Amino acid sequence: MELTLPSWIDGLSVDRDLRSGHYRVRGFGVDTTLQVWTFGERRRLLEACLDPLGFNDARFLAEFNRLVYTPVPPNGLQALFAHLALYLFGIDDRPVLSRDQADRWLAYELGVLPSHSDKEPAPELDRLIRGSIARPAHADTPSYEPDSGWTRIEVDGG
Amino acid sequence: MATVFTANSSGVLINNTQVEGLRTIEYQVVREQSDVHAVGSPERVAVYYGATRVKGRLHVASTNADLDALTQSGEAFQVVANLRHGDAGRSVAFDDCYMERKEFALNSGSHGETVYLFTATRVREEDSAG
Repeated sequence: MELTLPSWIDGLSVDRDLRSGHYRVRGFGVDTTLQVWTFGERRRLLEACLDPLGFNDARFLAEFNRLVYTPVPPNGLQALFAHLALYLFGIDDRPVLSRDQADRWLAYELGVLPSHSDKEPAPELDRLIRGSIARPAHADTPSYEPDSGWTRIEVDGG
Repeated sequence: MATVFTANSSGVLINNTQVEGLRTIEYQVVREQSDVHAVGSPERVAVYYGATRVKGRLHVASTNADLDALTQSGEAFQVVANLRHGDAGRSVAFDDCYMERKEFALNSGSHGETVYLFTATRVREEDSAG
């Protein structure tokens, strides 16, 4: 059973299969299926995209699309389709915890070890984590309170 | 209980240079403590202190080449944050800092956030006149 989602980007239509949880994305000459990533895939992809010089955006875009889309969108549309997928996975303008912080939170709060969260859908865990953590005083700062015993200095215009 | 201050971006300097994209600084000071007990009493009679450890985290939008360089080189650096509340001011300085590692937090709206974790020999918090 498929349900059409409200249009978010002109020219793209998104339907969701309520049984499998997969999305079907059509537009710009592309007809592709989007499958949610697991927490293990999310963890390993972030690890693979960190190199000594920082986060490798280009590698992330390419590998993320290769991971979640079948078939993979063409090169010129990689950024658009990756952005759409991240939006559908609940990672839009809201910061989420880093890889290590998310693993730590799951372990301490829920007793879920990384090996147990490996095959779980990442959007569900991201939503669970975010919903359990207080919202920030203003929008540009991370959406979680500093850990107990920590002091935070928020930088305006940073 | 967590404490939150605010600072203007121009008021936060690392090695006397403003850090582009810096969003937050978080820090924690932990002082080791042990109890001294007397024979025959279950209650402690004194405490003694051990090492004091300062840990900090710099949250930066995207990444920062200067902080990446410090992560690579392992050189010492200093962080100074000048906080303002009306006419009152407060300065927080971290001395002899060394990068420990960095982590990446995913955020598509701002192309990701890098968290630089560092340790410091000491943190000095001083009130300053406006």
